Amino acid sequence: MSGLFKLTSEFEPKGDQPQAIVKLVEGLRAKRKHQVLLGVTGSGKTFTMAKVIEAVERPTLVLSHNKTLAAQLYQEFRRFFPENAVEYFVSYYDYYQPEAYVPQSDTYIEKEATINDEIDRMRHSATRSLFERRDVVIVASVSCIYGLGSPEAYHGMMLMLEPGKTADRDEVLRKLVEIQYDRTALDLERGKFRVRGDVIEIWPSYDDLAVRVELFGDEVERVSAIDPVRGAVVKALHRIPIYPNSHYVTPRDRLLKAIEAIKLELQDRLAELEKAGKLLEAQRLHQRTMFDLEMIKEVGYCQGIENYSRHLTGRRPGEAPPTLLDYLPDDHLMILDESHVSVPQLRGMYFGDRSRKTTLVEYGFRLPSALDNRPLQFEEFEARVGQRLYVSATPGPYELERTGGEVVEQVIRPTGLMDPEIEVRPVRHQVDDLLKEIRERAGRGERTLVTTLTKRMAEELTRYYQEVGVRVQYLHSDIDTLERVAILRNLRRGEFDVLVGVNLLREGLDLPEVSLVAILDADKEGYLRSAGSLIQTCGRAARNVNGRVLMYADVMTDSMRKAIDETNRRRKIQGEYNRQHGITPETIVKAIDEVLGSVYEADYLKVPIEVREGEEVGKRPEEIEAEIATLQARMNAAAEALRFEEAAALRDRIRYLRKVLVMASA
Amino acid sequence: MSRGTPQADYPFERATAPAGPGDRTISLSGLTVRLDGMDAAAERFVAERFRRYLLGAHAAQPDLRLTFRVDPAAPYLEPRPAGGTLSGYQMEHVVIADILYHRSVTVCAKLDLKAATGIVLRRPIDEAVELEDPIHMAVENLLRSCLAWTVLRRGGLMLHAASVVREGRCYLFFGTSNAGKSTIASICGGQVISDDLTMVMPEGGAFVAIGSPFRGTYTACEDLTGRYPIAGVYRLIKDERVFIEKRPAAIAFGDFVANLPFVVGELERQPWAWGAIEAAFGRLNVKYLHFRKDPSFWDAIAAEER
Repeated sequence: MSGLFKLTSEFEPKGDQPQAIVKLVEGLRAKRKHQVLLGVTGSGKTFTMAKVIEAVERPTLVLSHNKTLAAQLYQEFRRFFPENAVEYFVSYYDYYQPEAYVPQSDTYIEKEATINDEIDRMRHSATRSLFERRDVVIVASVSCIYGLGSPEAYHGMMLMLEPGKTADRDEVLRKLVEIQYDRTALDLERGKFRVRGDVIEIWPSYDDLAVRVELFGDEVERVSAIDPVRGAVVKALHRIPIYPNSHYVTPRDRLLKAIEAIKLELQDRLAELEKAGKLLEAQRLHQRTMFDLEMIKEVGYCQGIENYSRHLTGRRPGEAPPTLLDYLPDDHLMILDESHVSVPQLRGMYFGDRSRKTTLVEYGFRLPSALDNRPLQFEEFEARVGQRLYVSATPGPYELERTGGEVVEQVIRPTGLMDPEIEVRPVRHQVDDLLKEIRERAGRGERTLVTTLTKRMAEELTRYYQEVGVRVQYLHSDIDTLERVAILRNLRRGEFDVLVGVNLLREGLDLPEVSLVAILDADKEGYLRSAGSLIQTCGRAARNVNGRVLMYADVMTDSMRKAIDETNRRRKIQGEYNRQHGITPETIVKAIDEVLGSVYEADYLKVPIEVREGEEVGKRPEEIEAEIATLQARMNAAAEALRFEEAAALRDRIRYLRKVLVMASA
Repeated sequence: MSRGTPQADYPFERATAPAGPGDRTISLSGLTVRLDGMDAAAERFVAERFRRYLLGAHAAQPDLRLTFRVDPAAPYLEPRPAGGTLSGYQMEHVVIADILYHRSVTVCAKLDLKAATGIVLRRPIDEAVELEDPIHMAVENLLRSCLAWTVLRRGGLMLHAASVVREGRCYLFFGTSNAGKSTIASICGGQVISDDLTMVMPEGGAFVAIGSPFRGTYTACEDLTGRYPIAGVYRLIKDERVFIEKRPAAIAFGDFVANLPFVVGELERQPWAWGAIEAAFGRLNVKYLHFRKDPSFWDAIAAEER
């Protein structure tokens, strides 16, 4: 069999890519559950992943720990597999604040909803593709371990049909009725279904094609899309979800049952709170829950309805919510990108959510059942995932333990660029020694990154260097994304030469102009001085031919030893390869604007959107409103094109203009 | 949905005008049905549906005689509300004393079972209501319903069964909807009388299947006429393995009765019918056929017959 996935690329596997691909594919075929791809930045990991997917021909979920990388991966896979279903699955709250932060203006809520719709559409598209085809690559954020979040899922109101799966005919019919389909004995119409013995034909109101389900005994034998008028089969389907005929009608009795259950829980909880003397909390909880219940009863929905998902879906307390993972076919492949971050993140999600929710519950903002609207626990995640491929330049202990320390390596960069040389110098005069190095590089037009152990040290170092005339900036953690983009851009442009920070592992710091990375107090063990972090930090100098790393340390810690050995080992392999192939590495400095053309960098681009404060003074309200409308259209377009930073900037501008409007009318 | 008992709330005597000039007599292997005063649409349907069973002359003493009357009343059953309904076709069917009351949205009938004569009220054509209960459904179901009882009074049955003729003998495969009747009909490779409802009548101490047009979805061969001795009666069970088994008579009888549409729901009020059903069951050696979607079940039947 061949050709489920069609990989389109002008490149052929190079360097150590071919062996990595072969080993990984062999491992997957040998049914190995865990495999690690140790791949350095710039070695073409995404291409290797694509090659593996092409070879094993399985639906694949690529998990990324942050949405920016996810967007980048999504674009890359889309280019590799233009004819296959490449999907993007992230949370709709990733880019915009939840509604609670929004002032009580109708239009505003609507705007947020439009954005959500787009992300929601992509999420639906992802789940749908999983039902309908096997050539699927989904790039997902950790959103994939959260409850699916669609109202249908909350109400358990979706009917899933899949050949080979058990389905009692009468059960199927009852379910169809429950989700508001009408049975007919006559012609098939939208929103109706027809039964002829063991053949059920359904025409969902949202679809142009109808679905024919053929049962035999208690098993689904075949599912096909049919032309509802002629009855001819258009295509066979692997799986098909039937969504409710009406989105806005929830089954009344189910809703009423849920309301009763919520009321009971409320009663118990109020008694508890009152007994504990928490009268304010009780009052708050009562008010809020009763309001929500009223909304649910009247409109079938309320803000934060997901917090009642346990009652609405009739799950038992503590039971896991349905997630995207439940939709993956059994033989799927899971790729965890940057596994040294994504695995701990998966682990942490549940606890983070739990502690936040516990506070909400404790203070009477939510009922205890809200705790069941949660991400999967790590064990639940593990139980739902099949064969895994962990990809990282510095695999973490979890994945190494799972593979018994075995890794598939990919450390050669097609560009010939090598990992930077590491030199260790004593701490004693680190500040002045580094100053000398910085000046030398600044003279050559190269930049330096400096990482300190503490925030305080970073601040003081920055101040000191500024005093002695170094053009230096401090990148601290409170700086928001947009400002960070501006800083990085200015660093690349050469408006300053040194960037000081505590954590240089944050994304967007792979800059070709950086030829020196200095790690102060490298011998103080800690999270940012662990072997993995050190290797990653050193990697920040790997885009430049002259890349070097200076570690200031008085003792050689284990972590440093490991990092240095590993880097040297990689350098040896890389150097060998370069010699054999006669490659002289060169720094590839893409023009800043050209780089900004790529999605990855585009996310860090502060888009100039003609924000000239004060220009609206003297404008008539209608003009401002017209401008808001224009901006809104641009914001939607930007969000659709995944240019979220631009969309966010536009959003802020809209907010500002609204404020101006309100003030003008006051 | 129902508006009370039909005999109480409907004055059949009110309508006296014939629905139209259409008179037809059909004969199912000698069982004659005369339909008088049909409107054009009903007559067209009957003439087409019973094409192979029409008699040129009218029977003087038909086994069943239905007289159509036109009646401008509201729908006989309320059209269903939209949104989440399970019943595909709306119909009501009650037998009280010796009177059968039947109604759907556009048809309302009363049949005196003793006299074998009945009145059918038809609403004048009205598009909105036609959509709910088009003529081919309304008249077809009316006839099935009336015939079920007419046949029963003559010792016969309308069995929810597919019927396949092989070498002049008929095999019956019965079961409720979803049991596999249409599936059997489509894979049997024989001549199919029906994939849905089969009329069986007593004949000389045994039973025969009567060629009749009461089919479900099967259209692959022409309607059959004539009488076919019954070679076997099987309750269908979908399975992976193919084999035939006997089950205790009490269980088999229950399954058998459950597959007598129109009759089964009224047995409580019509205890006399038990006798006719038991007599037929006693003659039709009911077995259980486990089958899968291929013609291998014929081998099992052949083995059983040896």
